Amino acid sequence: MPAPGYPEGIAIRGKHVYVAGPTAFGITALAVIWRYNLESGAFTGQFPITFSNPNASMRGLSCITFGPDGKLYAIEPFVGVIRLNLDAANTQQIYSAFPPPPPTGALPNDLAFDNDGRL
Amino acid sequence: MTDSFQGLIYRIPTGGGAPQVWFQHPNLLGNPQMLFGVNGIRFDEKNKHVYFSVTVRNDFSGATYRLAVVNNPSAADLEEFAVYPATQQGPLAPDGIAFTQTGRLVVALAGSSQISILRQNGKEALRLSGPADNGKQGTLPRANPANIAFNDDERTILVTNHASLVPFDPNLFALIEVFIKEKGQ
Repeated sequence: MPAPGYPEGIAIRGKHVYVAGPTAFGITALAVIWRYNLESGAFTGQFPITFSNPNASMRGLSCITFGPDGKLYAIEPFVGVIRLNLDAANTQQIYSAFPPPPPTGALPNDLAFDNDGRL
Repeated sequence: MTDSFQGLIYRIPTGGGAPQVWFQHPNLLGNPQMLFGVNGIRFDEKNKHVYFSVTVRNDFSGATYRLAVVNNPSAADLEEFAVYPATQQGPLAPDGIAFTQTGRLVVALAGSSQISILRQNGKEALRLSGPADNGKQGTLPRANPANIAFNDDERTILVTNHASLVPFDPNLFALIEVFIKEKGQ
């Protein structure tokens, strides 16, 4: 995997596998979705996350999942749930903004859609 | 959506918006020394229950639980599904989870660098250990597997080799494919 590594979330759609990272404390590199060919394992592109929290000392991605709309949903723990169209323009929106964490800390980690389309 | 440090599960309305606390319970909190409580989360096929892992509990064991999918779940709706006692090497630390087509639950054990497969009754059917074949390069150690996705065409799972709890080695950051003879849910 490309530097800085620490792959965390993973989701498959069609002929591609999507991997989210980096996920490790102390890593401040750009959060990104890496895309690979499912059959060959070849790297085929990436989708850098365009949102970050200026008040957070870290960036990163934890888990990802595809929604019923075919878009990819990714947790940036210091921002919110980011929805990616996975298109050439790297279109993204904040689907759900997280509240400020309590003094004891917060770590949004994994996500799943129910049959009614709720995360 | 799980929050590992706050020990709670959020629900986000269809279409998005602010997360709302859906379930909170002391069993979802992590060990005070290691903090990682509720972690991986998946619904069963009929959406009757949501399953989740708790990575490190107070006694350093890990566990998977299931919770009835109702509007306002209470403690009575929570069931312990499977327990992973700590060993002398440390916590097994269940992380990501995923259902097979037949309802078995695949669990990434980040602490012990293993993959566990649970039957529908919570009993363990299989524990996968050891390095993965890496072709001409020999083998690749499993290192803190984190999350799982099904490659249905091949009847395999792909697992992220997170490699965050071992000495830094960029070669360990990889996806490991495991043949399990099943499609995903």
